[in-house]
Amino acid sequence: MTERSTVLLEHPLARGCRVEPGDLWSFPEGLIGFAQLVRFARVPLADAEPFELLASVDDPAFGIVLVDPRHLVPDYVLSLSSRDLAALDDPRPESVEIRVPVVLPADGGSLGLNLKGPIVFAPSGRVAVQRISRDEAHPVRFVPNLAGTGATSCSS
Amino acid sequence: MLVLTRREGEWISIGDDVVVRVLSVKGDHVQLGVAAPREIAVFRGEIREQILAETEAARRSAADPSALSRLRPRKPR
Repeated sequence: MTERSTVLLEHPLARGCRVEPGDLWSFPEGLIGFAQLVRFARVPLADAEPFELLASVDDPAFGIVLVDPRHLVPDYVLSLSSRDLAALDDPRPESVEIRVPVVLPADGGSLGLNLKGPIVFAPSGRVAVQRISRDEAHPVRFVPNLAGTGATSCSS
Repeated sequence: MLVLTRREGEWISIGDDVVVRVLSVKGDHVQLGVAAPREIAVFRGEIREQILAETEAARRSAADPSALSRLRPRKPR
């Protein structure tokens, strides 16, 4: 379904944000396990840069936080096949943006990055797909060591 | 579902360019070798379920806006 009017987001991290139809992203295959979710908005999280929210338009309560994995795993590389690029309408490989789902830390818990299930965005066609990384070194949940990385920690 | 019985060293073909060979059978472990073109993604069956579960965990954690205050990653080099 094509959105024709401004979309008002309802997710708690972006409540009240308005997104123009042309700024939405199409996920022809949905997310893995969520094939019914095919339209999303990407919302920068100003208070938590460089994290962003991927908010579903099809299910207003569904949203996940994403981040460029290279912020925390500088050597992260995702290998894309010709079939992967075809699913994105054949963008230039260097133009795609890679993001990974983030499990936000609970009190006293750790941040988790899903390096195994990255999302690939092709800005040229505003199309995106979730892929499974072929790299055996990429875990489903990677817990970065934030010590000494510029992370802010507070103790009383 | 097509069900085939294979012995160690035997194989099955899928389409024109995928071959799955039974390399060894030891107790309840079967070692398979898969030969497929690079554009064909081959993964252990449980990986997809793990990714789905992790997306669900990400969704639940994002429903708590206070979690954002605990994020302070560094910028890329």
